[in-house]
Amino acid sequence: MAGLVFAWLAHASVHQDGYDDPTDTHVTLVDGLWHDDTLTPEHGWNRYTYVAASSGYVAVQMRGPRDEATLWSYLRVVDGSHSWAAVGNRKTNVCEVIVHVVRGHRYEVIATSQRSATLPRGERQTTEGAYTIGVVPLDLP
Amino acid sequence: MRMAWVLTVITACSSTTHDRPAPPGEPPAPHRIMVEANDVAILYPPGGAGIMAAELVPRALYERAFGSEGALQLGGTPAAPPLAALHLVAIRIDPQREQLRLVFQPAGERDDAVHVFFALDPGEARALAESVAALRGDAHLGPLAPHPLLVRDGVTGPFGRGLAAQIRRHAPAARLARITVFTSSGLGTAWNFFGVDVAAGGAITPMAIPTLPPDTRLEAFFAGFVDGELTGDAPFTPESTALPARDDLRILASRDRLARATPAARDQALAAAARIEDPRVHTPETIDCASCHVAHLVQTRGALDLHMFGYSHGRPSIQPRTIREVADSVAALNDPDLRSH
Repeated sequence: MAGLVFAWLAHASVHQDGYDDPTDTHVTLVDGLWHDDTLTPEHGWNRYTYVAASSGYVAVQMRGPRDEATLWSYLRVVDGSHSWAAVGNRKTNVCEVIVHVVRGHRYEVIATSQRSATLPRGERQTTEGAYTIGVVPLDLP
Repeated sequence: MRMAWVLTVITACSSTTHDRPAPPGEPPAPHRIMVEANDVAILYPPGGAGIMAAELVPRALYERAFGSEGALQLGGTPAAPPLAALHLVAIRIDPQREQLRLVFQPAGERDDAVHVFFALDPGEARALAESVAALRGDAHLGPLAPHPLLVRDGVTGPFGRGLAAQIRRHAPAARLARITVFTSSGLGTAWNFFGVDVAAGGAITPMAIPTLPPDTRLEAFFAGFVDGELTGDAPFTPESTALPARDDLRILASRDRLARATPAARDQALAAAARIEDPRVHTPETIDCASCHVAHLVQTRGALDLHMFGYSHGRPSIQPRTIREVADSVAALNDPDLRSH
């Protein structure tokens, strides 16, 4: 019984976000390097791993083509029960989440699109298109 | 202006056909064809040579070097281009290094390139260059450009067929010495450089990149997301900690860093870019890949073309450093004190 309740709660929490299950890309992002990928409706959102090389602030960035109306960048960085998210700038289609990271700690980075949100009548918007994602260490005072 | 001057020098050097006069009482030396720029740096017309990398590079070796087809590189940067997709687009004959370099690029939109280096025997580069020069007969080819005879007659014309035979003869797999790869990511705003050295017998080691930490296997350059401006910050990954100031052009590659720099720092960075573009100052053994490939870009702030000799989005790409290297090769080959016989 408890298991059923837990499963229902887990299911409900997924629906609150309105996303499909993530597709694990098995890509570990590295500071300063850019990974190109594509979002398709069939694959939902894409999940990456980032292991901080040093402690400090990093800017996790995602950028889609500016003229591609089917993909507006939308990022989430997850550290256990904490997460940070942001949507892309409408002019640049660059999404940036600045996070303080701890050396050696592992973070999940999830790339998706505002277009993957659930519409008021329960319909799904489609997410489709190329984007690039990277982690940029910041030298903040 | 400087590029035009270099082109003029090459054209002038290569159109000279005299040999050293025979000493009094001796018969004149037999006529020899003087080597020209397009004899040692051959750029095929768009579409390439009709020679595929898979014909010259063993697939097993390529996969040992860069992983199986589609295997992403460090940080999810793009895989090395599939061997089967690589067309020969350019040839470099380097008498100073006794080296034959073949430039391959994939057909299509990707802005990638693979350079394959073959070690030549002493004197072989000269012999190969003279053979290529002999193939064109008395034609003069002018400044470095897509090879005029290949443009006129196609790759299946007499010159194209003869050239292909020479390449196949001098580029057996047993002479493979190095393979370097250049891929684009960041939706066309970043470039990744990596490579391997190939020892006799086929053993592979990652290529060391000068000025970067010894365990560096890949260097990247990020131009930033603002069209027409260099806004990547940091533009170079990893950042060198060993570049002397006289060779450090990095502030030129970042709009914001450049805006904050003093006039003296800007001048020093411009001087560094000029040094890096000079093959008599820097070689692939003394400067990192990205600094060399962006040295012209950071001065001109023009189109994002990082190819040294090949094609960038279908347009011929010939960097000033390449022109200088070729001028030095031509000068060395035509020096009567160094020529054979």
